[in-house]
Amino acid sequence: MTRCEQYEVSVALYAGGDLPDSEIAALQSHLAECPDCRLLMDELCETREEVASLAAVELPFGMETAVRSRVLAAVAERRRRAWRWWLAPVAVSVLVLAMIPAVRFSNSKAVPVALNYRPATPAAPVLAPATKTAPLVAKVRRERATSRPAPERQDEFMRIMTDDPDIVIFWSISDGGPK
Amino acid sequence: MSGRREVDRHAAFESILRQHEKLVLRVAWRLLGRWEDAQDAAQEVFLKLYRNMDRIEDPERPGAWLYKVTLNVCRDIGRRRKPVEPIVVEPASGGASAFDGLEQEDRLQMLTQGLETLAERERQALVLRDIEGLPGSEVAAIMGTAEVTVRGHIAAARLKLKKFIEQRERRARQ
Repeated sequence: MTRCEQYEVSVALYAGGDLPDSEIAALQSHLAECPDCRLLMDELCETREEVASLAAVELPFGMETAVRSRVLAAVAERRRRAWRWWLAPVAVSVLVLAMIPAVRFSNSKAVPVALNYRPATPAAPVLAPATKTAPLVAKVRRERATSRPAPERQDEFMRIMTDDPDIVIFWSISDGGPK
Repeated sequence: MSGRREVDRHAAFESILRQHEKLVLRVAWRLLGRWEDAQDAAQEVFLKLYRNMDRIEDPERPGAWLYKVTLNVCRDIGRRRKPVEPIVVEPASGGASAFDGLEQEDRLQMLTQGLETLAERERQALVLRDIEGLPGSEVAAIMGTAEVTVRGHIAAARLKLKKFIEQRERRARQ
């Protein structure tokens, strides 16, 4: 069987209404005189109708529900992760704020960290060498050293670390209250 | 992003999902030929939609965007799986219809196999034009190509599919 191959593409487009208007007249005149191309045209129209019938195929039962469930579950998990990222700094901030009064008004056992801290009394009194001092004088000096009023206490601070290494909160915990 | 806006965004997404899940599944199935692949594709398409909700030009009518993404996702899935061997197209012959005497399921299977034998772009063009019924200009926009190129794909796909069906018919008769 012979075919007018140069018209095949045009016939295939014409069968689906896709041939440009400018080419329709020429093809129609060819179809009028070519039974092979008319047969091809009929076959293509039939094939196209069959293909178009795929549009009516129903989805398997429950498939769309299954897909929707999977999608929504994945989205929910994604939202949970996003909220965690968003809430983490807020939770840390709230925790820090909640800790501050507790630290302030309780007898915390935390080790205070003093800024420019100097001990109120020396660990051991510095005494003059005993060899060159009389025993009575040495005794008086010792008494003076121990009865000497302590120098004014330095402010003490509680250091509160945050997640951000660049942010450290210092809270005054000296006896005189917050400065 | 404020909580209220996030809630609205999620509600809009769920609405689009419910409205278009059948469309995406159908197109994915026609492009991939298997329901399990179509399910995977649809899930991926809608997750992409969720991630890109703010970037869609017309959120009220996401159809074109969904078609485009479905084509891309199906292309990727199709490339990851084992390719289908192309059929050897023999000269066509006239005669009775290839669909005469076939049950609907057999016809469906034949058409599905026929679609799988087409080149990727031909299959995309044919599905969008002849099954989804979109105009050629819209198919061209979705495929990101010129309308004349789409016409070439459509013509080639129709001719190949017809020859495939004729070949199957001959085999069945032998």
